[in-house]
This record gives sequence, structure tokens and C-alpha cells, in this order.
Amino acid sequence: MVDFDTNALVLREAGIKVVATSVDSVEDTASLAEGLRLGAVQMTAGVDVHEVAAATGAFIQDDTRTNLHATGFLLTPEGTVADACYSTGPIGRFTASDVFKKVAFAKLMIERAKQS
Amino acid sequence: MADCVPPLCDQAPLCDKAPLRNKAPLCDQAPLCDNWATTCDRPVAQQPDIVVDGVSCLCDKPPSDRPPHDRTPHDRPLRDRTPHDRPSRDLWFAADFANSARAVHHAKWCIAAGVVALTWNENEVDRSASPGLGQLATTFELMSKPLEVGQPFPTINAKDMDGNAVDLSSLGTGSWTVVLFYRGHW
Repeated sequence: MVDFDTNALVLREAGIKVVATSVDSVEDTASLAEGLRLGAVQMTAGVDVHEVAAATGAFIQDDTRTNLHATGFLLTPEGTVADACYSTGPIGRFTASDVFKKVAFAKLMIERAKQS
Repeated sequence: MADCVPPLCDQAPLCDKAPLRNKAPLCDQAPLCDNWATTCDRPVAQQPDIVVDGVSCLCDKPPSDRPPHDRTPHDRPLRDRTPHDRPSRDLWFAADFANSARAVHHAKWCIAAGVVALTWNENEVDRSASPGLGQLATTFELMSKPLEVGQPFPTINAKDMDGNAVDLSSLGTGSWTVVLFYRGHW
């Protein structure tokens, strides 16, 4: 999230919106956003672990606490999945750079398709 | 032949203690659905051995006779399913086949309550407890497959920072959107 927030200007110029969410409460999420000084990422809260896992296939961490493992989706303007990143632990996350490159490439392909 | 539509146990209490890690009804608090398969034209006890291949069913309808949306739990996206077509018959029958396993007893309550997807955890249930349990697990795993490229992002309920309900799938409509699920509890 911090990576995306740091690169907010570039992402905004590319027309990329960023939404983040977790199982945390609204209060905890607001506290986290404040602590990380997030300004550009749209924070949401209170998702249901099992609802998300069922709907997306995201992995669940379940020992002393029940969490979603970090999972990222890049969605097209039409709301379909353009890319996804399913993590099972602390390794494996979308980065702002990767997303930017992916979207730029997709836009390029769309432009080429229009021209041909 | 009557359809094997499982009865829904909407009133069954939910909890987080079921062995399959979903919000399943607590088994000993779920007074409903003792006759969960009686909507079939024969009671479960009188059924012959069920071929748990994901398509066989108590009503003996061969796959080809069944409408496409009944064939597997994944023929339709979750968002398009209704309480009456989820979980699929396949899940239902798989659970019945594996009836001897205690875990599946719990799972059956989950199913009865209309819980769509169960997350399988091998550590929590002994797969060898029942010959059908492995198949059941496979079925459950199928219920939470990863989203594929080009698939619509499903409806996921969350709250905005004012506490209002939002659907994550609608937040980015019209623009490229990154949706990040982070682990929380930081």
C-alpha cells in the first residue's frame, strides 16, 4: 500500500485507482492509514475472510488469527480481472511499477488494435 | 423423478468453530436438516452407493440429462447463484457419500445452511476417515478457484471509512483499478 501511495501521482496520471481492504475494522483501518500516512489509496475495511476466499480463491491464514493472505487484482475499466497475484505468505505482492507497466502495455495493445 | 434440492437451514446458527474454517453452523446447535435429503424421492439411507464423480446424484439423473448449470459448482459464477442452486447438488451428494466422517457431518451443516464455499484444511480433518472425503475435499477446493483473467470481479462487501457498506467490485468501475487485500491485524 505504501508503494502504491508513494507512486500515486504516476498511477493517477495513468488513470489507475487503488483500493485496499482487509478484515480489520473501520477504526483499525483508519488508524493504519493514518500511521502509514496514506493519502491516495482508497481504504476500505471489514471484509469477511471466507466470503473473499470463496469469491476469489484467496488464501487464508488461520492460526491464532484468521486473515486473508495478501491478494491483489488488477481490474480493467469494465470490471474484469486483468491480472491477479495470490500470495500464501509474506512473499509476493503487486508493485506499483508492475501495475503501471501492465496497464501501459494493455493500453498500447488497445491502441494498436484500434489502428489496425 | 423429484429433484434433489437440499433444504436450506437458514435459521441454523453460524459460528467459526466448524472444522472446515468457514462460518459454518455449530453442529450441536443446528437442530435443522435432520431430514436434509428427504426432498429426494427416496430417503438417503435407502440410496445405493453413490458414485461421487461430481456428477452423479441421488436421483440418478445422468449428467447429460441435467441442465448445464447443475453439472458442477463452477458452471456459474458465485454472484449468479441463488440460495437454491448453491451449493450444487454435487457438493450435496459428495457430503452424503462421505457421511461417515465426523468432519463431513459438520460440512453437511455448512452445506445445509447454504454456505457456498468451504476452505479445505488437511490438518483439520483426516482425509482417510472416509473413502469419500477426499472427493469432498476436491469438491470444496473447486469452490474457491482463483479468478481467471477476463472473469468479472465478484461482488465483495466491505465498509468505507465512514462505515457505509460498499461493494469492492463497483469502486473502480470505469477505470483501471488495483484491489489489494492485505493481511490486516497489523
